Amino acid sequence: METQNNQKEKLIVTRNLKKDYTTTVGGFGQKAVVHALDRIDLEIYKGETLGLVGESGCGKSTLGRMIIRLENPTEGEVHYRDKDLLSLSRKELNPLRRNLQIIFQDPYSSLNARHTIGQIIGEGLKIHHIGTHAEQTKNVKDLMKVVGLREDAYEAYPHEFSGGQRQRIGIARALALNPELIVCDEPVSALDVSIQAQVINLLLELQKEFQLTYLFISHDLSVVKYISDRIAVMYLGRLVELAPKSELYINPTHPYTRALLSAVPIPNPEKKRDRHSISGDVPSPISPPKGCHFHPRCPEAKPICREAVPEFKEFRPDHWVRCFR
Amino acid sequence: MSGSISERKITMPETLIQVRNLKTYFLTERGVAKAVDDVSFDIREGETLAIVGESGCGKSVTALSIMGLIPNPPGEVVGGTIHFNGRDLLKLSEREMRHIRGNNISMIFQEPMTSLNPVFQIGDQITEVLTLHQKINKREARDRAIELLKAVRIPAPESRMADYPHQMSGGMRQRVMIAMALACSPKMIIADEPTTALDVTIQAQILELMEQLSETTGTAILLITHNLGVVAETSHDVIVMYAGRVVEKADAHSLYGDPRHPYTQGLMGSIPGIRADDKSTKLEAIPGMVPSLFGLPKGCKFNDRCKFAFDRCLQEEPELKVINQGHEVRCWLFG
Repeated sequence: METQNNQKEKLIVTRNLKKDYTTTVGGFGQKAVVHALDRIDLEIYKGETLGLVGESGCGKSTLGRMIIRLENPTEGEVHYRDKDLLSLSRKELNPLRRNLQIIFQDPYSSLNARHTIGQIIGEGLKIHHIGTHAEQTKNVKDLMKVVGLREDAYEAYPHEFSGGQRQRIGIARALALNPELIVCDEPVSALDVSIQAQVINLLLELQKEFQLTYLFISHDLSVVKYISDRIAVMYLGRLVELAPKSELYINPTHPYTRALLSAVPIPNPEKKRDRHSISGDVPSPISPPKGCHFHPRCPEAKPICREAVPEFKEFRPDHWVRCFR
Repeated sequence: MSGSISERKITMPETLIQVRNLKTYFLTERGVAKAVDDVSFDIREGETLAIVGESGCGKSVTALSIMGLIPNPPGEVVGGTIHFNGRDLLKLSEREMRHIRGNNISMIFQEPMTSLNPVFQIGDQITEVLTLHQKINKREARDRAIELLKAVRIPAPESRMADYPHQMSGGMRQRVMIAMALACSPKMIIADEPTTALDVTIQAQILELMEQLSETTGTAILLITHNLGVVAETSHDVIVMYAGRVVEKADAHSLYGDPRHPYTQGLMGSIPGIRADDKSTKLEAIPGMVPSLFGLPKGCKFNDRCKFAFDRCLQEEPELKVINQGHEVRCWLFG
């Protein structure tokens, strides 16, 4: 990592990031601990799109929220440029918040139904006292144009819009404060296919225009493959593989990554996917298996996999894998 | 007679269901929503037909119409025929229809959590299907239920019989749903977005399972989905629907190899991996949005989003025309 990436500017660095949630199991209030994130070391470079993939419950959304400090980790550090986000007070953190924004999956529940589109998009400008009222209004209207919303939508309410348009509102809101990083948490998963492509194209245009950095969280591997520069794969709270996109798709190394990639249906009836399908379900994060979390489903598991946790190692330049093989 | 049937089976399987000019409308305060408008198709024994389209295109309503599960009011099948094994399902009484459902046609829904009853053990839910539709006693039903769970590859089926739905994962629940759908060895299964709520590795398992079961039992499948990848992997024939109408119909090879309708082309261009694999190539998104059934344009229903639309498209609606053997398109570009 040292040699290759020193030229690249690190925007976000996480060190040993851990998050445990306490939850009740069963109907009688027994407590259990969910290990949502386990020692995540991840770097996000300026201007890149880092894809974060994994199946439900693997901790990808938790990691996204942690990076912009919507939630506090149980342990570990998150650095934004030279600042340690976790050691900052609320007051110190606030001016930084405008640089770190998020777009949510569900465009229905993530917009306040009682606010107009103008209020929703302009809220950040108001909170951070950017410009006069007239400037804020103009700013919001400009943003609406940028994301492809009609100007007369300013006074309208979210329920008047379709899912795709609501997602555009969410994007305009994230853009309002001119951020450096946007965490895109499944931004197109709730949308119809034809609308998905519009939103993906919009995200790419905006990235070019505003030099944005994206952490793109998704379970849809074809979308991630399309949009990302590098891809990180998570399984049960741990990073299992991280590599530049082409490297990951040509040379997937972790058995889970291989299984995941081969499970994606290919939209071409002439090609049969070569199936490395894995059996079994994702285990519960409340009682993850000992050793490598993937060993009960891994076709190549060895005795050591049941006992010890493999390190996350750079086995080729920029290609990191957590596996004993 | 029987000799000729088995002979024909070698060349061409029997047509199991024949849907002709199906029209299902919903009468609401805002007007008449033509959710399914003049839809026709056949499915042969052992084959999989996929209906693809976006939300509100009428794919699920088509399925519910076949099952006789359209809520009335506001919905009503106002025209067409659905011949299944030679009988028109639309002419059957509710009692006869109940016999068809479960015994001959069964359904798998998208959400395996909401379609299972949370307060009953899954074993009881499967045996209920069996005792309701077949003349067998409880003990036999239980043995058969365990067999079914085995068939859908649920590990330790005997002990799983006592599980409640919440104790199972999404993939396991969908397996239970499939086991229930298979319980009475139906001739046809309607699967409405069966893997949409599942993770990809689990989706792959379920698709493989459905394929194997259909091969071994000869069950026909009507697959309803928005996922073009799933369609390519599983289906022989494909119907593309838009705003209640069939806009293109072909076997999977022709549809993916040579999509003709601008909407089908748009769908193919919209998903990464068909034409654009990397962000250096832009996705060919379809402009505009999925239409509301209350505000459909005059003429071709796709004209407001179509980049090829010309005068005639704005005035007259095209018919579904055969352009190649087995390949039909509803578009003025093809006469």
